[in-house]
Amino acid sequence: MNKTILIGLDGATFKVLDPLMDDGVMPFLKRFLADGVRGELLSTPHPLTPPAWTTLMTGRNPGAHGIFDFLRAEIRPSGAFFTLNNFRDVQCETIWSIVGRAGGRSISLNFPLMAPPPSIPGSSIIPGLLSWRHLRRNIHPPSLYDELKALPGFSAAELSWDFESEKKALQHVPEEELEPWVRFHVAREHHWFTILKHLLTADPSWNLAAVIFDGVDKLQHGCWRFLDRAFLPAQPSEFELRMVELCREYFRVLDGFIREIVALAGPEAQVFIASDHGFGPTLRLFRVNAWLERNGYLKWPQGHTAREENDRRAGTTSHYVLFDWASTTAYAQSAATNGIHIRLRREDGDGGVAPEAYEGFRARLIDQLLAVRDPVTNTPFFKAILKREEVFPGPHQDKGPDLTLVPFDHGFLSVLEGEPVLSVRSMVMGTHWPEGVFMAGGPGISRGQDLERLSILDIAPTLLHSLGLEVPVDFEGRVIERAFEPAYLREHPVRVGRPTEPPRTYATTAKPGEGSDRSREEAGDDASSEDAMVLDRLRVLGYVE
Amino acid sequence: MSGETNGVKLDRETIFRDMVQILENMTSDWDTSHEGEIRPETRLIADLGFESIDVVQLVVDIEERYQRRDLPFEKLLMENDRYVDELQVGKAVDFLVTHLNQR
Repeated sequence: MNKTILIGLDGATFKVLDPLMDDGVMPFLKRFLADGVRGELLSTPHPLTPPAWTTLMTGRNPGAHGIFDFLRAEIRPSGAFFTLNNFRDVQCETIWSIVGRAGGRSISLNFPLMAPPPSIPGSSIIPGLLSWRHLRRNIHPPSLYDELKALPGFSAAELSWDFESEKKALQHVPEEELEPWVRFHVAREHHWFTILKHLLTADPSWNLAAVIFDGVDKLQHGCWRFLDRAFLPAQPSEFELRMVELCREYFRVLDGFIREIVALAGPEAQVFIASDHGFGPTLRLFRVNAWLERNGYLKWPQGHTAREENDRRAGTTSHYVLFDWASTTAYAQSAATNGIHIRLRREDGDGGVAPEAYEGFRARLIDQLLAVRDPVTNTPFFKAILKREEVFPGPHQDKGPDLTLVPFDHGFLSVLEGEPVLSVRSMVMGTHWPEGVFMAGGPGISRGQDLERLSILDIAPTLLHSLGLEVPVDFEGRVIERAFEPAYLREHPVRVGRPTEPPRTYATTAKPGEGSDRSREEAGDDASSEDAMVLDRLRVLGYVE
Repeated sequence: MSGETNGVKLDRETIFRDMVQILENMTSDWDTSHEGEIRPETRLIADLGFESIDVVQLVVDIEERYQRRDLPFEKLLMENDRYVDELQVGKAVDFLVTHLNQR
């Protein structure tokens, strides 16, 4: 099996990288691209970290792999329960597993949804999206943790996620905290680089080595105004100039890590760089549940208990709000997905949408959303309203929202109460845009090509082809053949092989009617309507604005 | 390690021992002020230094230990529409005694 490197740059966009390369901040990346290929990489229909990286790891869309969000709601006869998605929720085989079955060795660093880590022989897995408190117990093989602790300067706290800090990044980092916050991310990338360097050199028998540097995403969320010259004032303040330089320093350091990784990979390795999604500015804030309430689809709770709970959770930046389920037909479960769920009627009198009325109800909702106009430009606010079955084909599409909303500026929606429904942000923020990056270099890789729009679905088959493996027939993307030199492709033609294996399963004992809203409907729900109503009120999840 | 239930009824003592092992393994490198043994009256947040995200991980660890994903943790972790503010080890053991043996 060949040697292949994947460097993940979470949220990377050429809108930011090109000026940095032109200004000499990322000289290695500039040379790498001059000798290799590049192209825009289109993310999942809603460009969000968990579904997008899972698509990259599995070669399947969210309707197949089942990951739509950071969080998931388990609806059971006895109630609803919110928790974080984890590896056990990924319903398709990953590339690490495919490489392992073929007798190869993978290194997987900082990928989300990889905890608890699967026991893939020969693999080294350190998951991302994990608090330091749980890092030790979620590394494969377990003995790897002692190796990490022996590395100079190792700090589990600096390596791992701090969930309060991450939530802050999506909202607003106070100016006085911005500088240490950027430096924290520089330090964190250094830790991941050090671990990768150790693993590449300690046992050089690896085949696929991959790492995600996620500070790119974090910086762009909080520091877009310092990264995009269009938003920098003509006369920047001292603070703004300092922040511009600090952000450039982050990318300068990152460029150095990429240079060293390519050197460590050796002259025979092919190196791929990819992002899960792109980035761009967001200038508006749309309160989706407030809009649904105004248009008669949703009611906030009347009782003070739930309202107080909403206030309490808004104050503590928690992840969900409550609403009056019995009087609600459509609601946004999570701001992270920019999705609207339509509540289907389960029994007479429960107030949901009758199944036979679903299509008409949804069509009317789409028409109303498409009629929303931007208060500044008076143009349509939404670029598109995506139907679930059209963008998330697969057995797990019911875990996703019925409609995915695409605002013109791709901003995340707010799920909380508030006025006005649509407002102009006081300060530009960075947000996820669909157009990410793809780059490749090394022996057998074409030179100087700018490839047409590519799909994140194409990365998994391209990596397997680079390793010399067959591409599973059930992968949804295609090998990016133009990334390879014609002579290389003639010698190494794309081979399509057996389908992927089902993911690891153990005695999950979910009974019929449990696990998802739809399956519960199909099985017939025998919970009391009162219990169901109370617990369903808890189904609203999301980030606060 | 007790592992799967395999249809064998698990007694309270065994489940308590499992819980202590899970909690000790979770918290062994946390910088908490808790000293002494974990007892049924030990509180996860006040005594062991749990944060809300740690409860999510505890659920995963319990599910992995018993190879079960059907345990109705909402009955343990929610009261009157709200997540509980504190949880005693003994209450978690009571919950597991009831639900691990119901299949």
